[in-house]
Formats: sequence, C-alpha cells, structure tokens
Amino acid sequence: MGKMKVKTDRTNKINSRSWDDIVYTWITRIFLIIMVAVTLYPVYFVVVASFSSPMYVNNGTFLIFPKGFTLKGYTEVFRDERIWIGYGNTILYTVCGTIFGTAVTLLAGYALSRKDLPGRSVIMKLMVFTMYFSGGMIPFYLIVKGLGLLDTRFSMIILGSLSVYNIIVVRSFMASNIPDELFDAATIDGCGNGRFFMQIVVPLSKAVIAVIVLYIAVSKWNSYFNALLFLSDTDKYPLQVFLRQILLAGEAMLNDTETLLDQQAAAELRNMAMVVKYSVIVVATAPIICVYPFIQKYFVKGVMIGSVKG
Amino acid sequence: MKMMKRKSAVSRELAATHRSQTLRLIKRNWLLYVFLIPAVVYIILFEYAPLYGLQIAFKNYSFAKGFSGSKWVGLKWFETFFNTPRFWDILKNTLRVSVYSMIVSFPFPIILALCMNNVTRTKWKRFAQTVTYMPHFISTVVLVGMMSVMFAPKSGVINTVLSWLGGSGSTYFMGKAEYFPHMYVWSGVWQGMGWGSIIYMAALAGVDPSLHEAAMIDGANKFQRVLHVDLPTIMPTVAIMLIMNCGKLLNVGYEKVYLMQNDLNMTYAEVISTYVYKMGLGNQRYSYSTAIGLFNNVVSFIFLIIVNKIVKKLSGSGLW
Amino acid sequence: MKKRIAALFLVLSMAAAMFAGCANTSVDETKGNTEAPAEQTKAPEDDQATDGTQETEAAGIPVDYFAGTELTIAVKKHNYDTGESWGDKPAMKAAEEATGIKINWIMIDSGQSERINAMLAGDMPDAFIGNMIKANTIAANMDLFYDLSEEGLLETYAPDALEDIKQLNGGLDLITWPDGSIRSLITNDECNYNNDAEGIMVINKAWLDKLGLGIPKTADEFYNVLCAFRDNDMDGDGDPTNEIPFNSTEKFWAGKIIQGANSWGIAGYNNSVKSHYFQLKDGKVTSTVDTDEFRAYLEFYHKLMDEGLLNMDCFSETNDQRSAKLLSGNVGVFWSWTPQDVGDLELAKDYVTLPPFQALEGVEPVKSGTRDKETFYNNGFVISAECENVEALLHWWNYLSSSTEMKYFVKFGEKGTSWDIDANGNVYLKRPDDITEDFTESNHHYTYGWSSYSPLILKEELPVVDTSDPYDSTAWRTLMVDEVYDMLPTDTFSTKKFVSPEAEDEKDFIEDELDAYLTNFVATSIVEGVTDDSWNAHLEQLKTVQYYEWLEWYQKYIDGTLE
Repeated sequence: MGKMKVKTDRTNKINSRSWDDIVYTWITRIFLIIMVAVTLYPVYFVVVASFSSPMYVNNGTFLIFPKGFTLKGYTEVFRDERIWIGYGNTILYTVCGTIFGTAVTLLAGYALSRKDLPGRSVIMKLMVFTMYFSGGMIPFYLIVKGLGLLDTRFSMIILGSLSVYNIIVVRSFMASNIPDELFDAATIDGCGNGRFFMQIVVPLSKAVIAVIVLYIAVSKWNSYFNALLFLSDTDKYPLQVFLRQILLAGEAMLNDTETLLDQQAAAELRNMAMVVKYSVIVVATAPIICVYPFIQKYFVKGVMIGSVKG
Repeated sequence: MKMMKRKSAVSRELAATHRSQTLRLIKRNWLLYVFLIPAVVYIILFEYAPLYGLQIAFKNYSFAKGFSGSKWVGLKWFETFFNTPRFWDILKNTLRVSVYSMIVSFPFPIILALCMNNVTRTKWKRFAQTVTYMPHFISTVVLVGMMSVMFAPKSGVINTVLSWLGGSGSTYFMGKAEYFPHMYVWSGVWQGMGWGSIIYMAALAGVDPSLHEAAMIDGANKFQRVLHVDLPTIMPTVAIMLIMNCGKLLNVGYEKVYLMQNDLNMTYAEVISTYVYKMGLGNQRYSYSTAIGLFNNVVSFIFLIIVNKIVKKLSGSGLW
Repeated sequence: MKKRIAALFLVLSMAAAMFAGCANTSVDETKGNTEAPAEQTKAPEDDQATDGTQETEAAGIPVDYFAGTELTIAVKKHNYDTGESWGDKPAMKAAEEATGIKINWIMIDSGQSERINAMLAGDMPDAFIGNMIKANTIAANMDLFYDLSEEGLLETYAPDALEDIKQLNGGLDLITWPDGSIRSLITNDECNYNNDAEGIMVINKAWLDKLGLGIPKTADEFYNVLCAFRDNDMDGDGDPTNEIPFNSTEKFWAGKIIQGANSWGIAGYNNSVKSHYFQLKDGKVTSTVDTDEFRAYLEFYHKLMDEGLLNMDCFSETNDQRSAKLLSGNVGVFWSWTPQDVGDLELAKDYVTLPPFQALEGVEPVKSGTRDKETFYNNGFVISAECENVEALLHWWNYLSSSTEMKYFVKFGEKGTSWDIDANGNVYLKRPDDITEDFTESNHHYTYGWSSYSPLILKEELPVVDTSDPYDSTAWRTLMVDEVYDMLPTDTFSTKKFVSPEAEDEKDFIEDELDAYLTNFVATSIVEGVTDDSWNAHLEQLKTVQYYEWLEWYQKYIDGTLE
C-alpha cells in the first residue's frame, strides 16, 4: 500500500518528496513516542511502587504520584548483609562468564559463517538439534557432578555462558556482513585465518559483539537456576538467589501446605513480600541497566563495510 | 559395459576431485576447526551427554531404578497424553497463543528498530532505546501482579481511563477467558519489543551509508530508502529470527501463563507447558513430562525444518 | 565396588538388627551392646554420660552407644530460619554431646526442589528431615528408602518415637505402605485446634452497629446486610460507592469461594476446592456438585456478584490486592484466618466471626474443616536405603523424641526462651526476649528450633492456649474456631494414608480433569449465572469427566479397599 503511494510520488517534484519525508518522520516520531510512553509508565510504576506503601500500589490508588512514602522495601532487601556477597559473586560470574561466552561464541560463529568450511551444515544441524532436545535436569546434574563441578565457582561461570542461539546470531550476522571476497583478498595478501579473524572480522563485527555481550551478560546476571541446583555453599550464591529467597518467601508459602500451620509466619512473610517485590527489581536490575549505554555506542550507523570498502 | 565403466570412472574422478577439494579446504581452514573446538566440547558435554535422559519418555522412570534400570513402557505416556480428554483443548490453546504471539510480536521489534534508526537526535534515541528495553527486566511475577492491579475492574488505571473515555470502567480483563490471548500476547509485546529490537539495531549499524547517498541522488525519499536500503540489509537477520521464532511453535513458556491463570480463563489459558508443570513435574512424573516435552519438541523441530526450507528458498539465508 | 560393600554391610546390619529384634523381649543391656553393628563405635561401657541420661535407657542402649558415628542429613531450611546450619541449634549441639553422633547438615533452601530430585537420582544423604520427600516420591521409589518395618528395628533403636506413633489414631498404619513396608517416621504436631476450621468468614461489626443490624443468620439477612453496606457510606469518607460489601479472593488459600456452599449444607474436609466435591455421611461418600443445594448456592452467589455485592475480580485478585483492600478498611465481609489479615490491629478489632448462615429451610449450615485435623507429616523423616548406620540414626532420632521436654527443646529451642512448662506439667508458649521488628517469634522458633519439622508431638502434649488476651493472635484464632466448631463435619477420615503409585495415578488423572472442569463451572456460574440448560449440561459433563468414578475411588480409599 505504502509502496504504491511511493511509486506515484517518485515522479513528483522535489518539494513533494520532502513533504513525504516530513510525513514519514512524523509518523515514526509519533509511533516512537507512543511506544516510549507505553513502556515508560509501567517502568515508572515499578520504581515509584518500590518507594510506596504497598496498600496504595495494590489498590490502584496511585496513578502518577507516589503515595505513602516508605523505604521499608529497601531496608528489607539490604537487611541481610549477604546480599553484598551476592552482588560480588554475580559480578564475578557475569564478567568471567561473559568473556568466556563471548569468545567461544565468536570463534564458533565465525567458523560457521564461512561457506568454504566443509561440514559446516552438519555441525549447524547438530547444534540446532540441541536447542530442541535436552536430556533433562537429572542427567545434566549427574554430568556436572561427574566432572567434579558441584559447588564450584567455575561451574557458575561456565554453565549457561554458551548458547546455540547466540552462535546462530553471530554466524548469520557475519555471513551477511563479511563478504567472501574480503577473505579471498586477504589470503592473496598472505593473511591466514587467524590474522583475518583478529584484524578484520572482530573490528568489523563490533555491533554484533556488543549484542552478544549484552545477551550473555544479561542472562548470566539474571540466572539462578544453576546456582540453586549446584551450589550448597551460601558464600557462592549469586545475587538472584538471595533476592529470590526474599521474594519467594511470601509467595511460595501461600501454596506450601506445610507452612499453613504457621499462620503467623505466613502472614508476616506475605506482608514483607508485598513491600519487597518492587524494590527487589530495582536492586537487581539497576546495575545491569547501566551496561546498556556502553553497548549502544556500537550501534552507530556506517562503521562497517563502508569503511573497509573505501 | 565399457560405457558404464567409463561413467563410473568419471564419477569416481569427479568424486576424487571433489574429495581433494574438500581436503584442500580442510587443510586451508584447519584453524577454523580449532575455533570450533571449545563450543563443540561444551555442547557435547552439557547438551549431548545428558541426552540419554530422553529415554525415560519410553520408560517408567523412578529414581530408585535409575535411567537404565527403569522398565520400558513403549508409547504409554504419549498415549496417556493424547487420550487426555482435554488434549485437543490444550493443543488448541497452545497454538492459539503461540501463533498469535508469533504474528504480533515478531514485526514490532523490527518496526521499532527502523523507527529508532530514523531518529537523528542521539540523546532522544538513546533514551528511547533504554526505556523500551527496560521492561525486559521486570520479573514475570511482578509483571502479572502489575497487570492484575492495572487492569482491575473499577480501580485499575486502564478501567479508570476507559471510564473517562465513556466506557463502563468495569471490564474484567484478567477474568474473561476470551481476553486471555490478547492479554498474554500484548503484554509480551510490551515486555519484549525493546529487547527484541536490539539485534536489529545492530544489524542496521551495518547499513552502508553510500547506499543511502546513492538512493538520495536517485531521488528516493526516506520511506523508500528504508524499504530499499535498510530493510534488505537486515533481511538475513530478520529471516533467521523468523525461523527461530517459528521453531517455538508449541513452546509457550509456562511461568507467565501459569501466573495469569484463574478459574474463569482456564478454558483458554491451559497450555501444554502448564499442563506438564501441574501433572508432570508437580507430581514428579518425570517420564510423563519428558514424553510430552519430547512430543512438543519433535513437532516444533519438524516445523522449524519446514520453515527453514521455505525461508531459505525465499531469501537465500537459513539456519543451515 | 563401593556399592557392593555397602550392600554387604547392609545385609549384615539387617541381619544383626533382626537378631536384635527377635531377642528384644528378653534383651538386656550387655546383649544389646554386643550385637549392635556399628564399626565406628567406641567402647560404650566406661562412659559417664550413660549415667547422666535416662531417657534412652528403655531399650537398653546407652545413649552414647554410637559415639563417633558420622551421618549426613539433608534438611529443609525454612525461610524464617536465620541460622547458617542446623548444627548451630542448641538441641542439635546437646544431642551431639550426649550421643556422640556427629551430623553433617545439608541445607536445602526453599526453591531448591530440583536439587532434592537430583539428590534422589544419585547423591543420597543418609536421611531427609522436613517432609521434603513427598509420599508419591516414596511410592514411586520405594527401594531408595530404608524399610523400617524389619522386626525389632524400631523397637530396639527408636522405642520412644515408635510409642508416640502408636498413640495416634491409626497408629502404625499411618506409615505402613500397602506392601507392609515402613519408609518414614512421623513429625510435627498430631493436630492443631486452630487448623480445624480452615478459613472463617468475618464481618465488620462496627458497620453493623452503625446500621443497627445484627449478625446475619439467614441468606436473606446476609443479602440485606450486604445491600446496606453497598448503599451507605460505611467508612464515612463521604463517598458511598467505594465500599466493598463482600470481598472474596480465590488465590487466598483459605478464602476459596466454594466455602460459601457451607450454608447449603456442603462442606469440604479441608480448604481445598476439591474436598468440597464429596461428602462423607455415615461412612458413605456422597456427591455434592450435582445437588439442588449446590445449584442454589451458585445462584445466590451469582446474585451477589450481579448486584455488585461481591467483588467482581474475586477469581483473579492477587493476595497483594486482597491485603491492600482489607487494609483500606472498605471491606464488609471476607474470609480470613483471623481479622489480623487486614494488617492493622485496631482495624481488625472491628471484625467478628460470621458463622455460615442458614440458606434453605431444613438444611443445616456446616463449616468446611475437620475435627482434630491431622497436622503431622507421615513423610517427615525418611532414611536412605544406602545409609550405613540406620541404627545410629534411629537412636539419634529417638534421643530427640525421648520426652516431651526434649521434643520441645528440638522444636522451639532452649526451655524458658520461647516456651516453658507450667506447674501442671503443661507446655505453654511465651514471647521470647530477643524479639524485634526484624526478628519475629517465628524467626525465633525456626532459628533455634525445627518448629514444624520437629519430632511427633501428641495431642496431649500440645501447648495450652492462654485466651486471657483475646487479641493475641493464637487466642483470637482459638476463640474464632470455638464459634464454628460445632458445625464441622463429624464424619472424618484420615487423609494421610499411603496408597500405591498406580492408585494414585488413577485418581490424579481423573482429578485433574474434574478439577479443571468444576472450578471453571463454578466460576462461570457465579459470574454469568445458572440456567436450566447450563445446569443440565453440567450434569451431563460430570459423567464425562468421570465424577462418579472419582467418588468411587474415594469410597475405596476410605474403606481401605484400594487395589
């Protein structure tokens, strides 16, 4: 539909073209403003709710301005000093895991992006297969146990750092952004695979590297399942496990028949959970959200092929 | 005879040259295999090695007997699932939610990325990006809790606004079964849109500025340039994302659906994953839940293969 | 190799235990000593501790007989436990000192249920405490757990714990599987008066007084009261529209709307919805959801919803929303544990118990719940089949179960802190000194004791409740239960009997369909109303979802004739 309009417009004069541009710009602008508003309000709601009395939050009484200011949510979260241990561990796991994961993903993604790699299609298929079929939690546990990785920091760094999804993203990105001729030209200059990767592929792939770093870092930051499964030593717990404990405390109790006997406890936990829910999100996500601006830098237009071709 | 001999000789020769070429390529690119080693080792260790666990879909697994010791029961668990009176309802609900969300939530990140790409003021662009990306970090429990508050009849924001606009203000969004797919899908769009657009933003960074310049000289307006320059550049990424999205055909995550379920919307809100959660894992029926999971994944995987083939034919890029 | 040695050892120890069992009647101290198989055991005779402790002497085994044994026990760390390890609890230290048995504790956090499964799959500790292992897990994995039914084993090594179990109504049957084996011991209180009546409806007395109305006794009166709540500005804020006459929350565990059927003579044996689908009358399981009374109940509640007397979003409202509504003081009637649910003591004092009102001529209102509801866990303490020193473990458990005082020591910590014994020898609870806003009574109980994971405490050992302060939460609850106690069903049955995995499966698959259908039917009927057509369709549908087969299953369960 738009296309037809565009086609007739093409024959028009220059000033009508700029008129098109203005219309297009305004449409995108309005769309963006709506999207930002729609996402901003709930995010704002979370932040304000974390400082407000849960009664007003859950009553729907506060729409825009906070009501019943309280810091209880935050004091509750930071009451337990172990949360700082959690922060430390999470940063360690996230940083190391992201470095490891990104390196492995890039290497594999690049290798698989090369059309002159015999067997790449088979390897791809075998990798995609694992996205759909997994043996389940128990064999996974037994293997980790067999490797002697139970209750180690190493396992927290390694496990979950690599995903086939990310490899595919890197692979398809490189396949479409790094032309085959580039490698051919480089080989003529006597450049091998290793040097080509380091000196040409990596600098040209900054944008996708940024994406992968973000993907891995966020998933590492948010992960708790492996920690719950493999760690017994609380000193090694990541932040999310501590926060989950605080959060689940009230919620899980309600469905847990055993604790129904202890109504007092359940009621206290419930009230606590209500206050803490929103502050936990702020505490958990504020640091990782700060990573984003550093990533955004690499999404600047035109840093790529154009500069090489010239 | 002779002819045949010659033919086979030729084909043998061809095969030989093909083989030698492959060998040559392997030799030339040996380093690429080294590149693959860490990923392959990881995948073998943590993905392939545990796969033996799948056998319990055909067994009556118990911890006591272990994987190899449990009795084979053939397709019993699959039959049990297919014979469940609600099987078709559950399947229908799953497909409804997943197809709907595939159709709606797939284009949004692309449109968002294209719009953002058009913004020239860096500060506003960064702000918009950061804001739209934040909902990704709101946990499902809180998301559903917030929906419950915001969409509450009478007291919720949405109903309040609706009543200002002349509505009844007592629409029961969270309760009415027919609303469930919309609530589920659109809240998903809201939460995932910004996060999903990141990959397209990165792909758009690869657009060659000289192409834009050339198009401008040709007299193309902004919209035309988006259509003919930006979109083709990100097309391979779009294709891959589409394939991977389609591969999630039957995999509707359980957590959000489970939290959104209530007695009223159950007729629309019971999907395979929530059923597995309640019947399989909740009661530690490992064999049963593995069997349903396997069924799920086989269907999804076949669908993935088909979509991959189609997309590859249409756009030239596929998963393999 | 290791496994084989373990197996050999097991056989040997079993043989020894059996021998001990046979000789039990005439066993004397020296004999017990020579037979006990623990290799790590130090020579027991010359220890002074033997004289110091009297409780475990009954079976003739000195308290420190197994000194030097090391055991690994996985326990559930309660969310309210602020301690690092169970080993820090005073009773555990005392037990280690007295018995010389060292326990390595593995703490399992809530939310780590997958971890438990992984342990079962190949990383078994010697035992689990804290009902982490569900009955159906035991059922499906019998061989993973040590069979304690061997003759003489419990008699010799855990006589006190055994004696307690025998005191229960049902006795050893409560832990015996259909195949005759025993795979667990019982924990926690036998019953707890406060649990008997489940959720209790409360009504805003201050509002009633304002209107000059009394506690509604019939459906019509109830309806009129709600209308008055709706139409008047009850909270006096100048806005007559913001009152919620009746707030129900399906997601609140004790506030299921099905309990409304109590007024129509339909009661469940606990707060679960499905327990309302049948009733036990003179030992016969009878249907409920196909009766005219049930239909009348649905129609009445539909009327309430239709006229804005019942909150519209009762089926999706979260607990947070419920709490917020209650705290706002705009609610007339709600289901509660105690009115303290509203989160404000002064506001809570406005509410009084509203026993189920009478709805139909000739149908006595009843109350969901069970008299002397079983609150013990018959899967509370399980021992791994791989445990190499079951006798020592049982001995240790027996030490903890050896007297009321000891049990409370384990349950709540040091005597005199959060509990004590009065002049009549009765246990009573008291407020510990170290309570702060951040460290509640429950924190205290779970940090210094096991609280709900403790060894079995019999009905007569339960703490006496002091009702002199009616607004103390335990007293409050007790007084509320008093008001509805007579309405609780008299026909009761044990819900804790073990059944075979096959029987369990059979029921679960029917129940899943049935429950999915019925909860939806009830909700839809309350929101949209019942017509003759929808009711007839419902009666048909009940057959399709095998309602009557399900009733039969329960009949068999109660009769004990399940195959």
